[in-house]
Amino acid sequence: MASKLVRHSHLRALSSSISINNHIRSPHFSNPNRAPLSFSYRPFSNASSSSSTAGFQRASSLKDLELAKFASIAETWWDSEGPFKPLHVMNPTRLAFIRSTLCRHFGKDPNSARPFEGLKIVDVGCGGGILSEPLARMGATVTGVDAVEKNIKIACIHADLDPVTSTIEYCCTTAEKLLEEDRKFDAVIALEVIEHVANPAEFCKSLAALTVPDGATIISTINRSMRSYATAIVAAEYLLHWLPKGTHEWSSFLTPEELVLILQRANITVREMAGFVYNPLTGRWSLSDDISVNFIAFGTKNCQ
Amino acid sequence: MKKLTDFELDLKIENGKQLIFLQAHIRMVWDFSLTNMVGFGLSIYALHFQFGVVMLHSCRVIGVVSFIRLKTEETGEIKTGGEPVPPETFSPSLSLSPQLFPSAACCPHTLLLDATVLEVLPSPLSLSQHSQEFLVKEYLGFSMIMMWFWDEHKETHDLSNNIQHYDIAIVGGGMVGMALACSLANMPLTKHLNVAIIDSNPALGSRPYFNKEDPPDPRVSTVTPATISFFKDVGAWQYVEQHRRAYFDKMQVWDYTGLGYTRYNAQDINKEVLGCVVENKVLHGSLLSCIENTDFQKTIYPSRLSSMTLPPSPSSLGMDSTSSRTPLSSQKHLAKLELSDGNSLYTKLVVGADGGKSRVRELAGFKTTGWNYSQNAIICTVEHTVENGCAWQRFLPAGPIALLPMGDNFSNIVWTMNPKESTNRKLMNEDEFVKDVNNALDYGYGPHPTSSLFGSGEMFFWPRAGVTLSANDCFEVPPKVVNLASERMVFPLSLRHANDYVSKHVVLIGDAAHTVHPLAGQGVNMGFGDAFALSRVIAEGIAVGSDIGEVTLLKKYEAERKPANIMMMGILDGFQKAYSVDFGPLNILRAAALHGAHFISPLKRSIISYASGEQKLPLFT
Repeated sequence: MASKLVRHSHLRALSSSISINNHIRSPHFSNPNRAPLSFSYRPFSNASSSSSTAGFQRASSLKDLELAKFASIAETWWDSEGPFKPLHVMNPTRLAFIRSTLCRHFGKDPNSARPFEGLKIVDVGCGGGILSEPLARMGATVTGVDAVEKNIKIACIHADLDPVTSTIEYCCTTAEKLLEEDRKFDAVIALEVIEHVANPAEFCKSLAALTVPDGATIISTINRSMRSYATAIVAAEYLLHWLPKGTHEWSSFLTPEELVLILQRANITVREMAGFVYNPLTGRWSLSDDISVNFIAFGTKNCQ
Repeated sequence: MKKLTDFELDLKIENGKQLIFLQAHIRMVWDFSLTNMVGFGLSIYALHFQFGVVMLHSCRVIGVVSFIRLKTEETGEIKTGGEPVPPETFSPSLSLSPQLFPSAACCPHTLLLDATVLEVLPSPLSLSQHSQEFLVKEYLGFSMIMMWFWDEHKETHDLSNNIQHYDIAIVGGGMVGMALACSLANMPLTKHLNVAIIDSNPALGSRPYFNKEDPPDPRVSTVTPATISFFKDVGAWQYVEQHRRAYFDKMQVWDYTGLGYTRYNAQDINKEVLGCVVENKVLHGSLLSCIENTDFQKTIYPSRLSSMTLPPSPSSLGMDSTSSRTPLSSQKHLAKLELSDGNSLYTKLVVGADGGKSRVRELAGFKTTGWNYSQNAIICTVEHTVENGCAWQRFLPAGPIALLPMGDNFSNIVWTMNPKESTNRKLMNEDEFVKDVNNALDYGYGPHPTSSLFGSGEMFFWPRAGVTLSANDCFEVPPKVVNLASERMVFPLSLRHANDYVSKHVVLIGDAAHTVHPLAGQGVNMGFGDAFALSRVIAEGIAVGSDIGEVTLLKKYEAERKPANIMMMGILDGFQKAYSVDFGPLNILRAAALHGAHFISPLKRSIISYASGEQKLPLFT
């Protein structure tokens, strides 16, 4: 159910995490010859993949575990009946929220098949590209970033299957790195990432810095509520064993109020918020006012 | 298939300053359809003259055709330019896309190639003008043939980039397939889709034309209010209205035992009509006209599906595969269809709307459940002396007979019986057949029903007052048939249901997914329901940027339609079974059920609203 999603979400989280960045950047990301930052048009070598693993070893043991688990299931990103099934099922609901908020904010025609034509969007923590590809089909110029090299590789291979999605620029990099390259986007989207970041406030600042003035930022995560504790931790980790014990640290979850506050400090005003609820009878997710477990927030960057 | 019937080459060779200027004029006649053509080009290679022999091993491309003119009788001329090819590539470079001239896609063409060679070649030897011309001519002829060879074998080389790509390929352009196309053409999110329709029916290519004087075609459908509103939504009903159709607001169902009858009125469910009887060709033509009036990109392939290749599932997308961004990989996520006329096409989604014997269903490996009833239906058009405004159905020992109004004093007969009887009735002379029909709709097989048999007439007087108006209606005898107005057609009856409606890149709609007993004329209404649901699901998918061939998206369609269709099939099959047994006590029960349905108005209301396609589940509320 709600927590089922959580299992996968953490796998995308390594990207853009500030604390991890500090570890990763020192040994090899600072050396572009050893680890190429952009993988979009390059074949991959075993050398670079092993070097990135070496880089992650400096992170905590938990992150190691996540990385190992991720690597073992990365190839199934696009198997809609595989381990990422809950994410595939939830995806249309997240996109419905993104579509309606961005159409309204940027004055796009909601009846158009490609309403995001002309918008530059970055998908931070893109994973296998499950969100990036629909955004590209909706007309956006998409950049997908993820710190995990294997994700980027899978995303590239899959995006190449369709000419429409092959325009996506995938980079094995982080939000921080993008900032250094002075990149700006009309919309910055980071779904199911912030709960794995050591310093959410800094992370939000990076996202804000990537957003053009009056641009949009969309973040989704899990609430720190009794219900999320029951579903994401107790049920998913201890009763159902969907997740290894200790995958999620409940205390590091953010409540909607806290998210609004740290976004406000990062100069982003939250305009809209919605919850995702899962209906076990239909097996579908839908948007609702209930933000007690999974929720998504849309904010705009204030002009200065 | 592909045949070069005429090939002329005019060469002008100017020899000067050790250079040969080539100017070629080539005229070719093609006698195959342009949809076959995946590309066309001409290259001219450097000729090394050595001792009067052309040395092929050292050929290189030095120039290409600069200009192609295509001439067809219908469309006049279409021009397209060429581009020079870099010298190191060995590749014909000009391609003509069938998309440029869709209307000419299926007729023979004259293709004129005006080839102007761009480059000049050195002339190291002092051959005579005549022998140079001869050699160049031969060589050009040779390279043209090479190119043909290349063209014919393009697919085996996987140079399939020029094969047409579509978003959706609808296999079967019948009523349900066209309803899907029409619905897609009329929704803002789907009208941009590039759709191929594969059907060998010639009616698809021409504008529909109906003669009002002709008696109605016996192939008719009883469309429900739900279908009518679907047609109105897509803008096709206005075309139906221009032709013969017959609304009915009354329905009488009774059986041969004389024990029960029931009459339905449109007012019972607060509707103006219970349904409308329309000839299939009118429904089909209306959908066609409706599509013609939009700028929907559709391409009709007048052919049959011969094979289908589905892409491998994405789970096999291994890390070991070479991750190069080659254009060849862009076909990996598409289904490839090969047609019986040699055409092939790529598509994101294949829609099987090709009827009960669906080829798509077979090729995709969908399993079905079902059985044949050992029954045939005779259908025909009959004439009365008065206009019929009511739908009649009587259950006879061998199966039901239905008399449906068609307007202009015509009615349609659908009569179910065992195969032997059906053969007899098809062959017997017209007068006898008419007599048989009148008998079957009147006193044949049993008396007229009267409610007094149960003694319940009085009992039910008080509750029915003001509740169900039509309960006050008395039993009526249908109008007499005076003439047979069409041939008698016989169809075997069967029930068949696909266990799955969808898999990746493939979806079944209409009879391809479910074939039912024609008892209440529900078959095509279920199909229209499918078409509408599928087009809506596709629109929802496009709204959120889904790949329309994605199985998670298509499953939404299946989840919506399968329970509804199974329910309807169960009801119809149950009716069929209940009436195919002639056994005393069961007859009484059955009559009581009809009787009960007649008087218990909420039950009756939900039965009609279900039969008229208004309600999802027959919940008696």
